Amino acid sequence: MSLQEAVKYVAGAYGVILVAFFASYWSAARRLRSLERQVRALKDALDKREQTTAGGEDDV
Amino acid sequence: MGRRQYAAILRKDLIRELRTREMLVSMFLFVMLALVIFHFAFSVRAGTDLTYFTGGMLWVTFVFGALLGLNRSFAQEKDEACLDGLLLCPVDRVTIFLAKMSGNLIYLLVIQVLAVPVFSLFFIKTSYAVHLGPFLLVVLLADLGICALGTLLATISMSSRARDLLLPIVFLPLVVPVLIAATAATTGIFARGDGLGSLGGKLLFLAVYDAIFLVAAYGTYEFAIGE
Amino acid sequence: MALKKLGSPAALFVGAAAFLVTGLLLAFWYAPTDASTMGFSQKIFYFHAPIAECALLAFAVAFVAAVQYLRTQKSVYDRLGYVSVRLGLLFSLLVMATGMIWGKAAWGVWWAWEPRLTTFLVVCLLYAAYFVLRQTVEDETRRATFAAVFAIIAFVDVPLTFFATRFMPAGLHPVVFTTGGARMEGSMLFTFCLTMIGMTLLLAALLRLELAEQALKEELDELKIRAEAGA
Repeated sequence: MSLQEAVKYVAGAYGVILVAFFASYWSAARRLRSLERQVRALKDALDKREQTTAGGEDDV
Repeated sequence: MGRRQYAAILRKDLIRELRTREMLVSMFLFVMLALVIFHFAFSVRAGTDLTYFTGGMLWVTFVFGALLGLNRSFAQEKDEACLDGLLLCPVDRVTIFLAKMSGNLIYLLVIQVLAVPVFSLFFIKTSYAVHLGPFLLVVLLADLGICALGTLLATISMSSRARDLLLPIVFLPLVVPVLIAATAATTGIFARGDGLGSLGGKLLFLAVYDAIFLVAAYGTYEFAIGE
Repeated sequence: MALKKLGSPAALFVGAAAFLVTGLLLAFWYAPTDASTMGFSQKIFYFHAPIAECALLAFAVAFVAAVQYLRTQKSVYDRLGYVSVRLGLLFSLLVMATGMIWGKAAWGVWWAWEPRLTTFLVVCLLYAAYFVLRQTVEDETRRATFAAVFAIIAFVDVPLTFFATRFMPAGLHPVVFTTGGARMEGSMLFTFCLTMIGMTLLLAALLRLELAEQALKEELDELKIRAEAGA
């Protein structure tokens, strides 16, 4: 096999590796960000709810 | 105490099977059908010599036959809630494992005793009586591995939603080493008349496999069988 | 969690990148081309082998996590096992992909039933079954327990499978992926060590990332339960 062809295959192999790891990292980071957003939103909502119920009890 | 419980559980399973014979009959018919189908699958040309396929055909048939039996034996337990009753008794979980494994081993051996003569009738041209010793050794060691692994996995897959589908998928990759070694050994015996000398490595490997999985089953069966 | 001691994901990724990029540069401009008939295609080895070893490392982590789960019943070990097996499977698929490309470049065939490729094929099928198992068991505790049992016996099976493939008769193409075995040339060995360290750091980084995701998922589920309880 000529050097030209070999280079193509070697590049292909490293390319596959690069794509695979980048995709894995990117998808994990994306899911992490989305989860962080959801957790924060839920926490805020729960805190707000606890504040309003506490405030309501004071009124009575 | 353990030995009596082991004998009791084993006897219960064997008696139940002898009464109905449904599992043994199904396994045997399956094995017969598999052998016939193998002939049709491979003999595309007239006079094809299948001598070097003997090991493969035999062990594929036995592995899938064992799967059938494993599924069946545990499905019965689950469906009739026998296992719950068994678990309520103060029986060592490992004793249950050994009894169940022995039962499966006996079923498999019975099927094999019936199937091998038919197999040699269909596929083996030379006399193999002289090779019986090494062959029996291969069969025993491989069966032990198949049944130890299979009993452990059948216990797990019994609790799953898709137990019929799950057992083959978890069992087959794990049994690959046994399949490779047993096939190589059996083909060696029937096609080349290998004796214990040349089989030594494969037999040792099978023995090591059996030991490892028996230890693994001993350590984990308590968890496999659940509450 | 012990892994937190390794450092933040960011630091691990930067470290991994540093070692891998350096290793890659050295592989092409420093290490000599292989003298055997493999020639230039041997360069794939510098990533292919570390990925293979990291796959096995991931499965080893899963094994330890499984044993710890069975001992302590703490769900953090189940999460670690799940994440490790997933990464191990990813790495194993990459081993197969790079192995096949290397095989095509070096020997002209996309596939050969040689011990290493065959072992990794079986390993992929084996650990894929892990996920099928998890999916079909509904009870959470049972699922974690059975997954742990499976992770233990699967890991034990990997070396057995590798040894068993030695019993396979050598095919028409005796494809053997070695680079002088243990007696690699100095420069090759050095480059290989760099990429090995880099790949291990990458595995650690991905593990940290995925573990953080799993922990957040649990936190989210707990918050949801609190939200419904109050409503």
